[in-house]
Amino acid sequence: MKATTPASRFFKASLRFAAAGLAVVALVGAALVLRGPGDVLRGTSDTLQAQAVTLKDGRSLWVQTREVTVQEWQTCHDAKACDLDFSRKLGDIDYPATGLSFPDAMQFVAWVNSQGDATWRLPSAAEWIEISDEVMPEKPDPIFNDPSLTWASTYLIEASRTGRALRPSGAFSTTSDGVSDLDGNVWEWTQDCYAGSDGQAPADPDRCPAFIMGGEHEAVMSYLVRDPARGGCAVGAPPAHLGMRLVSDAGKNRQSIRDPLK
Amino acid sequence: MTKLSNPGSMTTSRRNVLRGSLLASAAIATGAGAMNAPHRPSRSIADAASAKIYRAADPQAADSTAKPADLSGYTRVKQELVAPPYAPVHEQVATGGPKIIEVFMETTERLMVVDEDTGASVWALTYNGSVPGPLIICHQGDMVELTLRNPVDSMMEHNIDFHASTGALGGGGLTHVYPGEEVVLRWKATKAGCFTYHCAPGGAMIPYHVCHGMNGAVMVLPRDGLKDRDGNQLTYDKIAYMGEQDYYLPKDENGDFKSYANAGDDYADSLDAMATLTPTHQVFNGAVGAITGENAMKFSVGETVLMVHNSCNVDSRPHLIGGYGDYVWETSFDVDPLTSVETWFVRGGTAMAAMYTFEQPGVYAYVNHNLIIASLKGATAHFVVQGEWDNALMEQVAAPREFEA
Repeated sequence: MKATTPASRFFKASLRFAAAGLAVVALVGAALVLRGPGDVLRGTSDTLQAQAVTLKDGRSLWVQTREVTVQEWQTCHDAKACDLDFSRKLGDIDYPATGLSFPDAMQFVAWVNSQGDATWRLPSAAEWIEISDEVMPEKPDPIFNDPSLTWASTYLIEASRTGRALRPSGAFSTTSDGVSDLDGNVWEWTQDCYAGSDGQAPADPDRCPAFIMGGEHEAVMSYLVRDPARGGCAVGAPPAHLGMRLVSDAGKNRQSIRDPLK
Repeated sequence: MTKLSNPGSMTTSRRNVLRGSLLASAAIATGAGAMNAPHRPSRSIADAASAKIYRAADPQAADSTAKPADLSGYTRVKQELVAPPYAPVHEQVATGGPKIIEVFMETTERLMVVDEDTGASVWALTYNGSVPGPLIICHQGDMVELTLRNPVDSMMEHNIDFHASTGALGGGGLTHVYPGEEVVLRWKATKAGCFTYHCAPGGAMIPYHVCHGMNGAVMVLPRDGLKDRDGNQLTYDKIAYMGEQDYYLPKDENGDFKSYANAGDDYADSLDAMATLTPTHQVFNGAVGAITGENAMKFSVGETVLMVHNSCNVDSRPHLIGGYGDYVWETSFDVDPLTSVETWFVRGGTAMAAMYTFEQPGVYAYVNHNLIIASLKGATAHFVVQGEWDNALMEQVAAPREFEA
C-alpha cells in the first residue's frame, strides 16, 4: 500500500517561530494547571500538556507534547467513557497508552472534549508529518523500483532504530517545538482516511476502512486493529504499537488554552 | 535481568554430586563449594528418573560382546555448523567414499527475547546457542560423530536424540552430559531424508527442553543427490532452514509474561503452561520476526531454494504465499517428491524439505497456514526476491478505481 507523502516532508521546517518554547496545559478537567517547558505531566489526570506549533501555512496548532498515557487513558475508562481497561497496566502509568484502535481513540477524543471547552482532535496526516519532520529518520530507498512491484516496495529491510519494546513517555526525541516521541515505536492515529491507490477518499468519511498512521515509517492501518501483529500475509514492517496524540486548533480555543508566559 | 550466564559455576564435578546415593554425602562432598553456590535448582522427579536411567546403564559388569565398528574406508571430515536459517557448506552429490563427519555442539542455556513487543523472554535451552539447533548435513552411508559439550556454567543436564540414527533412544541413552562434561557419539546415517533431533533427558524434562528450543534437524541426502520421480537431478542454490518453535511462556496475575533469574527457574510454571497445549508463541527460528524485515532471507528470480522445516513438537502446514512447493519431501528422500504443492505438511516430530524456484520478484511470506498461528503466534518468515517482473504470470490490469453502481 502506498500513502501519499507531501513533498513538505522532505523540507526542514524553516518557518517555525513565535510559539516555540511556550508550553501550556489545556484545561480538560477542573483546575487550570500551568507548567513550564519540559515539565513532565505526571499524576495529573485532568490535564493535557500541549505545545503551540506554528505550521507553514500560518496556522497555530496546540500539540500534545506526549502521546496519551496509560494514566490519562485510565481516567477516561474510570469515567466510563473509554472501554479499554488498563488497570492491569497501572504499574506503567507514564507509558504511552497502546493497543488502541481508531474507535478506541475516538472514545478518548469524545471524552476529553466533554470535559472542558477546548476542542481536541486527531491530527491530519499532513499536520503529523510537518510536526515530526525534524526528528524523522531519512526515508530508506524503496527495495524495488519497478512500478509492478509497488505492492512490495515499502518493505523494510533495514533495522528499526527504535526497537519494538515500549519505553516510558519522553524516551525518544523531542522537536524544537517541544513535542516528544514522534520518532518512537508507537504509531499514532491520524484523522485521515487512506485514500487508496487512486487517491480518491471514500465518499462517506464515516465509513473509512483504514487510516493513515503517524510514525517512523508510513503505515496504513485497518480501523479495528489494536495490535498490528507482524506475521501473516502482510508484507512490510507493520507499526510496533498503536497509540494516539491530540491536537487542538488554537484559534478555536483561545479561552481555554492559555499561554503561561503571559 | 542483565546477567546472561548462569551463576553457580562449580569446579567440582556436578555429576559426582548427583551420583551420591545419599543427600548427606553429596553435601559433604561439595562442602564449602555448595555453600558458596548462590543458587541451585531443585531437581524434579522427572529429572531424578532420568538420572536413574543413566545410572542403570553406568556400571559395567562385563565387557561388551558387540563387535567394534569397521571404520576402514571412511574419510574423516569436519563440518563447521552455522546458525539458522543458513546451512553448513556441503556437497549435494557426494564425491568419494563414505565419510565420518565430525560436528561439535555445545548445550548453551541463554536468555532470549521471544517477542520484543511484549518483552516476552525465555531461558532457551539450545544447541550452539540458536533455536533451532544448527542444521547438520550428511549423505546416506556417512557417519556423524558428534562431540556434545555441556558448559560448566549450565544449570541442567542435556542429551540428544537423533531421529536419523538407530538405537539407544536415538543416542539419547548414551549422551547425557552434566555441566562440565562432554560426550562423543558416532552414528550411521542409514536412511535418507530430513530428521529432527532434540534433547530428551527423561520424563517431563523432555517436552520442557524441547519447548525451550532444544531441537534441530539433520538432512541426510542420497549419495547421488535429490531426484524427481523420473530420476532427473534436482539441485538447489540456497537452503532456508527454519525451525518452528512452540513456546508456552508463563504469565503473572496481570497477564504479563514472567521473567526468571536462571535457566530452570520457570520449570513448574512452564509445565502448567505446557499442559494447556496452547502455545503463547509459535515462531520460526526462536523469536517473532527472526526471519522478517531486516532478517528476511534474500534471493533472486531463477534461484532455487530448499526449505528445510523442522518441527519437533507441533504439526505445521507451511505455505509459501505467492509461490509453491515445486517438489516436496514430507517423509524421506526414498519416495518420489510430491509436486506443485500449495501447502504441505510437517508432522510434529519431523523435519522435511520443500524445493521452489522463484519466478517473480517481490516479497514472499513463508507461513504456517494456520493463519492464526502465522499472524498472532508469529510463525512467519519473509523472502525478498530481486529480478524482473513477469507480466505473463501476473499483471494488475486495472488499478483500484471507482465503478458505476
